[in-house]
Amino acid sequence: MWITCLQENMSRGLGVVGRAVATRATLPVTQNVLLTTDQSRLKLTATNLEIAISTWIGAQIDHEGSVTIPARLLTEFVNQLPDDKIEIDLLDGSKGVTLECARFKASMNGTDAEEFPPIPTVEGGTTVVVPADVLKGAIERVAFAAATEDSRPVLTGIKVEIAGNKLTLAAADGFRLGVETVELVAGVEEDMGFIVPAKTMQEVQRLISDRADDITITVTEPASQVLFKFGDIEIVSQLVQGAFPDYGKLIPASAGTTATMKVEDFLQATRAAAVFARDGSGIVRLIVSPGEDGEKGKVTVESRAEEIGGDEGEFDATIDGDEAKVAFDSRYLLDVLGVLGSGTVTLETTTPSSPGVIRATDRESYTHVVMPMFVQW
Amino acid sequence: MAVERTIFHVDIDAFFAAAERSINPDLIGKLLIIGGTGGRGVVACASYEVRPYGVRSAMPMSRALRLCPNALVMNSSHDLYGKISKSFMAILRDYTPDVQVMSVDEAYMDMTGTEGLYGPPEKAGRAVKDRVREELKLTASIGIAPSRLVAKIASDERKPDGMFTVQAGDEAAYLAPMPVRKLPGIGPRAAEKLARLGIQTLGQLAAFPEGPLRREMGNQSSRLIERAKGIDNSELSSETQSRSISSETTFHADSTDRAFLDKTVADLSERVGRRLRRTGKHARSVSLKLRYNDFTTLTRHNTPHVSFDGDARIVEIATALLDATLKQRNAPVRLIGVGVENLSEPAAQLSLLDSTVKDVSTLSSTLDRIRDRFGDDSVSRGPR
Repeated sequence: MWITCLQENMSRGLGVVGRAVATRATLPVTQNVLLTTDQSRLKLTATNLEIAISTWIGAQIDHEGSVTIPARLLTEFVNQLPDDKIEIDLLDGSKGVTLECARFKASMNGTDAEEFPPIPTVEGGTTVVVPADVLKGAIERVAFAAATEDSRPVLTGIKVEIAGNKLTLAAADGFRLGVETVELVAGVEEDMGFIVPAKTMQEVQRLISDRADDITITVTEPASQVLFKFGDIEIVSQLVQGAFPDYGKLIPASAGTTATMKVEDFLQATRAAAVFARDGSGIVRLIVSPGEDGEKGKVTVESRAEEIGGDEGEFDATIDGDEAKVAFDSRYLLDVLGVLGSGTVTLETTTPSSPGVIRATDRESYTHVVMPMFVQW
Repeated sequence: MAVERTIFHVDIDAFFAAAERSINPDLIGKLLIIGGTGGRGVVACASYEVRPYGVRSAMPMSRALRLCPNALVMNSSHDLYGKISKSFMAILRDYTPDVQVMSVDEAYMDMTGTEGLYGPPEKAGRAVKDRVREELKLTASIGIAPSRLVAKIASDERKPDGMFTVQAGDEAAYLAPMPVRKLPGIGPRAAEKLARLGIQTLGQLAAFPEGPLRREMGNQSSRLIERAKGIDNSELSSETQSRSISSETTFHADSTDRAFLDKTVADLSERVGRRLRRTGKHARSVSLKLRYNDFTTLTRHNTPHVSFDGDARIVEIATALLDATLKQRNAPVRLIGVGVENLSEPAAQLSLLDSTVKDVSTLSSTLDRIRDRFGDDSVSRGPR
């Protein structure tokens, strides 16, 4: 016998590292998960060479050792097992394992741990600490604005800027921009900035459990890798190299018209319009109308699809400024409104072709900029 | 025997100039030129007042101003033209649902069988002209004929503010004395080839034996002779109603020459782009069809996030699809087709980081205007 652990822990651990397993591997061993004894625990590691995730689970260790096993095979099998003890044995020469659990017995071929690519160690460099729930929320509100196509690789990343005791996340895909600033538990003396792949950030967000308290972020000097450490999890990621756009300049300093409304009203009207907009280019038209004689104003959301029909929905809003008309891609509006919770939201707009700015009134540290669609009115 | 068709070709006279005058009567009677004023500016529209000076559309502005130094030059206001064009097409659709929009200021109407409603074609034509004058303060010229081809030529006959009818059976006689260049599709190059055969007029072309013509003009010869006689059975295609637009070509010899295939894809893309822009819509998808020498056919699609109507984008996407398809199977190609699909209202997602979206579109529509006037071969894409 090599080690013994609980099926529940093994299954959870494989779930944590699973997203880092390579899907199309030029290096076949990256489709495997590395199992290593580490003091009195079992360490699971997977990497696709851009991101590496490690986690530790409690185990009874009989003797030290390591092996790599095809991740999908191991995960699927372990997930079928009853919630019981799993006894794992190393095959001769550490080229595979046998697993025994209740009345199941399996053998799996793997490879020598020596063949697994080394995970970069992130030591030295700069370290900051952020409350886990704060970072999780900020990633949720910012990361969706990052580009998914890699025609401009820097835009697939999230710019992280650290200054004093503040950390700012910014993402932009060329049509929209999300920015949020959060307070650090422990700050830095020297300001710094680097670009983390949005995919890495989304993994961090996914893996932060509700129980986690603080996250330690460490960046190598010069900035080539970043390490996120929280609970029993470590994520090491390559950084995106290149110059991120100067996003501060993309946020308009003033607005001709500001509408303040309930997030849920705006969301409902946009969803209803999007049903029709789906067939076209996703266009919804917003007409922001100030109220007369101190009456409340309103926002109208319209969509048209030539062969199907159209929709017009409106809701109350407090309007500061003149009447305004502006069209947006409904998907962009739904993305941002979807992460703003309940509360109230403001939309700032100036002309039909100038950027719209969306802010949550209870979250001053957050700004979302979305470019309109140029349409015939 | 088929019912004789009644086709109108309706064309607004000096549209851009007239549109400006419709909102600013002070411009009436002035030597007005619409177009770009920059160093490489081109005349988009010459009012009738400057035409005696020799000013024509698509002429470099610098030359136009040498010919007519006192001209008043205004930039194009495409938003205004687009709005007026919409109202114009709406008037035409009041008379028949079969309207084929050719450009902002030009359309075909299939008026077959509407005598019971509007009286003889000339009466309906006058009614259309009156409404355009009253509602839009513009004049239109109408050609009435049994086919699109002849109607198009006839609308030029009494410009401006004119109407001309060619009766069924009179088409060949009507076209016979005209120079060959009058026939849509015959550009300067084709005219040169015909001249080498001693063909100057459409009458001479109509009477020319097909065999010798084929040696000079290739496969299209028999169609050319028919068209010179005024025979054109093409239906109106209301592409505004259609969901896709495509164009394809079969090669004389199967090809694996990548440069040739690329050029073909670019040419087809531009042809499709031009038809797309005539509908006034944008497309969301591009499709590429490849038929190999063994007749297996592959079709691929791509739907980028942002809709488009510019040639550059269609060429770019179609070329990427060609890449991908040839990667899947690299064999001699027999046929290539390019299409655009998912047509939707014209709109452009504005960019946060650059402002190139609109410029490209302007280039395409400028090229359209040049091709509309000087023929498909007048401008083409240079090698990359």
